Amino acid sequence: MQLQKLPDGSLRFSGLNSWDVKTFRSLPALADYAADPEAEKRLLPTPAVEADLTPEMAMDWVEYVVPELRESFARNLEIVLSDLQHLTPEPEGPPPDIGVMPDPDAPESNLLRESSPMVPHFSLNIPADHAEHWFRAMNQARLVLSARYGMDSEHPPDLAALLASGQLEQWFQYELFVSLQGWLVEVVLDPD
Amino acid sequence: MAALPETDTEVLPEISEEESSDLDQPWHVIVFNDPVNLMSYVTMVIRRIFGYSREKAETMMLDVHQKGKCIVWTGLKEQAELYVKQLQEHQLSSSMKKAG
Repeated sequence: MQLQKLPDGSLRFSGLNSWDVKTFRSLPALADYAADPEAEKRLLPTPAVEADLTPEMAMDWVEYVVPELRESFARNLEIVLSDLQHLTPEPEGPPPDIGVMPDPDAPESNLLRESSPMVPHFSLNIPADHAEHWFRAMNQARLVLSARYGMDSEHPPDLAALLASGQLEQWFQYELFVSLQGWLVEVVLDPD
Repeated sequence: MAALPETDTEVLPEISEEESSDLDQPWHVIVFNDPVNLMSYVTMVIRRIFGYSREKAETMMLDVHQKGKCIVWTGLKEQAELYVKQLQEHQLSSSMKKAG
């Protein structure tokens, strides 16, 4: 995957493989906190520490602020999904042996063919003002994964344990988001 | 000059002593550490919301990271609530607490 900030401020993700696309498309599911009390508590905490939280403050917060926060979180995901509708298949490169009659017995030719499968790739243009929505959608997914499975980049889990627990793919998705978010902050959102 | 009819007199709700002192008392806005938010993002959000210099925001971010939390602002309750909402919209772990 290649990431570019274009001169007009928009972003271009290219060389996306089918797993990258699947991961982006699964963002709403990964970021879904509705059925996970720990994740919901993390994303929608009370406004004050317990000692200073009055019932009135808590009720006002739930009535007036929480709906706006929920709407904001949902909007981020909607924008990501809307951008993903503009995924463009990248043109396939010419066959590696074009113009040369391949020798079926030549080991190099076979190797070349085997190592160059026609894997489809995609590219995606993201408007500049959508960058932060992408960031927050991925952040929300990581917050939910962290609350649900205790994932933490500073303390990477044992991969064998992740494989055994069926969480290996989520871990790779979590790490993909870390990389993309780091790039987004440094290059796009806060480059100064 | 005609006298105003009695029905136009607005009766304001009484503010209890407790509410009054609540409004006057300063509140801290606190950002807590979490294992998810990137340090660069925390710095950016603190700068953006409070208008601090990069240096000040980075110092606060490091306090969050190393000490587990940092008071990023102190002032009136209403403004503190607005800041906490903005921090939570940016998905930072944050809360408010009475000062003192």
